Amino acid sequence: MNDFSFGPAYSILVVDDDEYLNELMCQFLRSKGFVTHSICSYLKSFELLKTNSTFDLIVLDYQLGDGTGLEFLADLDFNNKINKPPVIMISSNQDSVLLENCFAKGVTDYLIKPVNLSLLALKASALINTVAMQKIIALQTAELERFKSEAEREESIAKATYEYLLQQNSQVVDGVTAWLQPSASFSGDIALTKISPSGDFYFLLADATGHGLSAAITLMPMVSIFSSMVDKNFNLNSIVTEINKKLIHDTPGDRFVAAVIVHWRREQNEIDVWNGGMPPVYWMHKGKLLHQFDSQHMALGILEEGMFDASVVSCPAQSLGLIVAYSDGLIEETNEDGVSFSIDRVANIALTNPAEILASLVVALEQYTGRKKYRDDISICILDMARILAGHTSGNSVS
Amino acid sequence: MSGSTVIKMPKRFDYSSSATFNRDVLSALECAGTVTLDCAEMEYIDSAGIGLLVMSQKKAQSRESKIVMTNLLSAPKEILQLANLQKIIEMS
Repeated sequence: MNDFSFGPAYSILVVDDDEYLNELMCQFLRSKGFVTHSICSYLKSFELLKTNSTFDLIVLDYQLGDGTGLEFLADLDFNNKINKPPVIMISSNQDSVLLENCFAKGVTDYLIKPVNLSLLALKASALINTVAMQKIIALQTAELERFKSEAEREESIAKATYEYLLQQNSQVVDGVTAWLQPSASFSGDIALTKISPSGDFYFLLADATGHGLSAAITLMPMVSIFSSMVDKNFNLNSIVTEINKKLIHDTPGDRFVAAVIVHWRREQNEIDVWNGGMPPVYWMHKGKLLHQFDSQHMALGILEEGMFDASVVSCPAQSLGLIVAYSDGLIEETNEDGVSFSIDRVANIALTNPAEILASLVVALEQYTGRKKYRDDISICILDMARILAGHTSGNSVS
Repeated sequence: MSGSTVIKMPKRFDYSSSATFNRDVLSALECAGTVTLDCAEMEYIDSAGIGLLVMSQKKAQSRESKIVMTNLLSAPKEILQLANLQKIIEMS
């Protein structure tokens, strides 16, 4: 017989009316490092379980003289529903109906007499370890559930705060349609519109590094700067310079924000566009491209003040038409062959479906990728200049 | 400072690449004047990957070294050009 022992000292209750076998099993189990408790009748074991239910395992003889193992199990079930220890039933009876009945009543394992003591000790150890592991897993699962629930609660608070910030610093302007599809709970893309006190129209579409909360946090400083500078009628050049300075100062070096900002100067009737790291912005009229505003700058938050270029592209707004802006998530989504949606495809769809640009792009993307849930945050914004102008001149553009 | 070290870029370059990439760049910058990023196998880069490149360029600049990207495939090259990364990192 191999010399093995187990630890730490787990306690085993041995219930057998055969005092000799009972003692033999206890001695052997003790020699393997277990603590044993010996009971020689059904009634005594019942009394003991009422007062002490901290055993890690029960070795139970089926025929106890003053009761049966199944009666004992019924009592055990009644007295100790939560921390019921595993039970090894021992019996000389191999009847399959009896065996099935025992397992149905909660027996964990079964040993046929004459009892192989080494096998008993091995089974005892394995069962105790399994139960101990199940308890650890149950505790860890409960702990994980608690963490998850706390994280969800905090995320919902953060999301409400973030959405409130966006709501406070943006206006609903008639003629502006934005489709923002976040890849996580938080979007790393934002679209803001605002009319300045002098009546100029401002639009900002920004895409922060990464996704989720960490991306959203990077966007927060620029939201309030954009809003407050528009309130003071600042030009685009000053706004991007200020946002860049703030992001350089306040965010980690590998975090930045690609952005396109449009400023429609009403008095001069000119459109200024600053595009840093975003896909091309199209200005279209009746299915024809009037102007394409390519990214001419690096994203905000990368270049120090001396290197940062705040120059804008200006165009007279003689025709109205539509301005289409989108984030790079749209062009980077891939089909099943790994080929990206691409800038060319977006331009082609926009030019061939001038009346339904947004819906056409959304449907085309879904068909191309075969998905509705995307890897990156995706934003598509359409500025209908005629409607913006109409809303502005009728004085109801702001809600 | 002189010399050159080549870092082979992964197939997908995103935030999950940060630990390995930052370690390799720091190690390369200890001895090299130019760190060449071999992008022959890099099929995908996202904004987090661009962020890592910007950081590596800043580290290189502070050590009077430079980062060069070579063998760029067309899809990631389009993304990098969209971000105007060529303004701070040489691409060949």
